[in-house]
Amino acid sequence: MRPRVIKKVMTPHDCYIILTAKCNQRCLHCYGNYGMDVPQNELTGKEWDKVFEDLVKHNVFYINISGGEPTVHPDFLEILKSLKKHKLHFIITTNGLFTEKIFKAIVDVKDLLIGIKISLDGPDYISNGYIRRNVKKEISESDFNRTLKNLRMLKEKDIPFTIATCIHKGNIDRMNDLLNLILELKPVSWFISTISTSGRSFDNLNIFASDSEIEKKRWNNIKNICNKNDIFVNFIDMPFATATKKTEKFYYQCPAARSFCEINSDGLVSPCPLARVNIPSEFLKFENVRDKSIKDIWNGKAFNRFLELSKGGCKGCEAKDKCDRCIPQSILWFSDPTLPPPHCIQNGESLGLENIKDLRTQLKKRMEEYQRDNYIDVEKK
Amino acid sequence: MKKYILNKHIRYRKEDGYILVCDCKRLLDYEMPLEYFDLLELFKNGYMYEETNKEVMKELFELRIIEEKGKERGDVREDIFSKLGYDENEFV
Repeated sequence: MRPRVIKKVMTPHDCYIILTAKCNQRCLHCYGNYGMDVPQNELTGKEWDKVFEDLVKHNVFYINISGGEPTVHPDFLEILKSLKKHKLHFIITTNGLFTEKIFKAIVDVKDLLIGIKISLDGPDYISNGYIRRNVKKEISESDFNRTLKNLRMLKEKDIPFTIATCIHKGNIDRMNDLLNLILELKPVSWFISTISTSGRSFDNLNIFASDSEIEKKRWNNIKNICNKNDIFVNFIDMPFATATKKTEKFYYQCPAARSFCEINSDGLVSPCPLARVNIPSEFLKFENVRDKSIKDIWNGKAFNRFLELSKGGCKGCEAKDKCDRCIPQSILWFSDPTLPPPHCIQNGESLGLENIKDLRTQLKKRMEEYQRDNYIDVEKK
Repeated sequence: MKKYILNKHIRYRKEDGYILVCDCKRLLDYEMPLEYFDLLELFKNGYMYEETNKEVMKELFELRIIEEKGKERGDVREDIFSKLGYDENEFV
């Protein structure tokens, strides 16, 4: 018997669930513009119950419940009961603004709960509120306090939780204060990432901060202190903080449509959230779990086409046999699924990409169009 | 005589040529030969005495796939998000 690295499987290993696109916040960086674009026909608690039944029937191991803010789904308590009924393990990703009633209901299904991830983007309400706003798009002290209260309650009940932080202009200089708060809250892990270039962040370009805005040794220090306190730190999309002297070739390893998929709040099933958000229906028409079982969708036309596109590799790339090319990014940046995503263009020489000069010019042009000329250093070699 | 049961967080299924076993609480995956499917089914439906399939039982116990009946082990407090097959922060 040996640990298994999951590649292509017959039905999804796990699913990412957008329970609802409704949200009780209006964060400036929200990748999905949640809270604003809510589908009219979101699945009800009863419909989610049928979906869970179908997932368990086809041996999906667990789900990751997110949103929007999942706890504001009108049938959230019924949904938790349904998970219990089907003995389906789950993760929750939330902003931590849930009520005590919901907190108790979550504790009630603790046995099936794998973990909770809560967003916290600053050490105080001003810093946190720099990107994390209430429904009136205002900075809210009470929202911050409620999240903090729930984090402390989780700690008290010994429920494992992870804190997720996006770096932004309002917290990049406050990392030491945030570190102290993290040490007090003692999550199992602390995930720190840059903001995704998608959704509402395009309208709020002033919020972006780069991980290179503070010294690398400070990032290392944060990681070391947390490790000493049994808090695992993961830097995501932070090339400066994670840079090593290794010259390993960069390539994508992605479980989308191979072992993982997303089910959106309207029932649409796509390989991943970025695929749903960035791929228009003329490229790929995703199917709905209201009409078909997860097994049929997983083995259907759209998923097979997605895999065909991502298997193709990019012209000249030396890592193309290993790479699970990111189609949503190619389409987002170039409206062309055959072109390499930005990070591959940045590493174009070491990957051996053909026409690298031309690709760099195209990418620069798109970055200017999107007003994201600081997204990556295109000339970096 | 010790009796063993399937850990309540273990789910498994047949894949193409192997059994895929998932520890759903710790997010760990294992691959097992197909010949052990019936054994797992026996655990799922009841319990097994330690004399049967001794070597396999030992390995399953060490991996926390099975547990001693009445002496179920508590959950481990550990990072699980880093074990996901994707960077979940991408979507948050």
